[in-house]
Amino acid sequence: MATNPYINLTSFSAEQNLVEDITVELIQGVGQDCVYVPRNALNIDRLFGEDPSSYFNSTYTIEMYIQSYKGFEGTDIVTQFGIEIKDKISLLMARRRFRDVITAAQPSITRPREGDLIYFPLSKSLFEINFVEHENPLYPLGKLYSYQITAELFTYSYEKLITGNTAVNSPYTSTGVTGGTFIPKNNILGTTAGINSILDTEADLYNFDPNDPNTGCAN
Amino acid sequence: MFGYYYNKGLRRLIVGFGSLFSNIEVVHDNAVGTDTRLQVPLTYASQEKFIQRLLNPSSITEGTRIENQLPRMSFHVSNVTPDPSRRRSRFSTLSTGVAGTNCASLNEFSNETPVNVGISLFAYTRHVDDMLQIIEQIIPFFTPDHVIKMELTDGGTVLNIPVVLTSNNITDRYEGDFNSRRIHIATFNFIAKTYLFGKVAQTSSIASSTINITGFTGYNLNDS
Repeated sequence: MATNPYINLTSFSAEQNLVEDITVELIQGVGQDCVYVPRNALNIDRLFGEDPSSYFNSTYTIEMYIQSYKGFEGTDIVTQFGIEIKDKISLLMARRRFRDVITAAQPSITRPREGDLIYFPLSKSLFEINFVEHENPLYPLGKLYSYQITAELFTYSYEKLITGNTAVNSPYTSTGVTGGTFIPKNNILGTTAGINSILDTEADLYNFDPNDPNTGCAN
Repeated sequence: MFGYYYNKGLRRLIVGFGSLFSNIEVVHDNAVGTDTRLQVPLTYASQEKFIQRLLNPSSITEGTRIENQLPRMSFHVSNVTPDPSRRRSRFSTLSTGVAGTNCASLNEFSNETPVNVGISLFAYTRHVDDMLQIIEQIIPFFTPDHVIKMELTDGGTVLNIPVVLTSNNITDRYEGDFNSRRIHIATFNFIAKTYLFGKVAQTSSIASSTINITGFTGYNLNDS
């Protein structure tokens, strides 16, 4: 049996546009301005399906509604590699606004993409999009109006962050380049930079030479 | 019971072992422009949690918050076991001169106790290619052992310590839903065949000796 054209509203564009307007208005009313940072692939390795040299060089400010209002769904944990911050966030973005702001500037980006970044200024957090749910809610009045974005804090692996936004760029810093080698930014205990130089210095006190350990005669 | 002493033998070994891996690098091949070449940060895995929270970037620290920064490496000692197969006589000693005394004073070391120290080294990367670069910079040097040389006590002798790579394992977590990301963790297990020394005694060197000979009759010592 076909749907009833007199009471079924799933194909009325006027009603759909009204719902879309309300969606945009709601997010603009109670949402938060975030910074969308698209990832640029540079040298995709098709063997391993990765691009260690991908980079980020543009930002777009767009409003998003925070769905995970109870807090970030994670905490700080200590692993054998130091502290990891396991914050997650769930955000809602209007489809029409994404088209107007981001697709209009970069036509190849037609939807929020997994791997792109979102800077959340309230907590100064740089999230990476893990998944974009595009069918929730499921076709109200026959159309989709929003993207539901699940994101987790960025696992940074020295991709170039060369946007015009200082806060976004800040992980891409170093103590300098020594002999062409990028030395990660230092801190007191070396969670970021490691204790490489501390080990080398103390090893020298014990007459240890890791680069030429067999030189000389040992007793 | 035996009196206090601390030669820092295990600390010296840990430092020496760690410095073997302090200059591992990873290069990201940028198709355009200069490649990104970075030194892989290395830490000792076990650290006080409160010190990490207070002094290192965490969720309460000012600045842009990220989950972590990869690649990274860490290591820790997992066990210290006596090795009877390398044990020598416990009664002989070794003496070395104390610096600045012209060998008038000596450090006297009892024979060393051979121990096997299990050390695990971990590497954590986001990209497979980064992991492969790290593995290639480690395994070829352990065939299966790599001999390091260092002083295990102050004023002691320099000893050869073989470090043996016994096993390695790569954890590659990539399955599941999109709520988690792919990670790679490699574990290398080593045994360092090192030594521990007991308390170092202070003695004097023998500068002169007097011989008293009695009881000889009918024999003249001056006879040729």
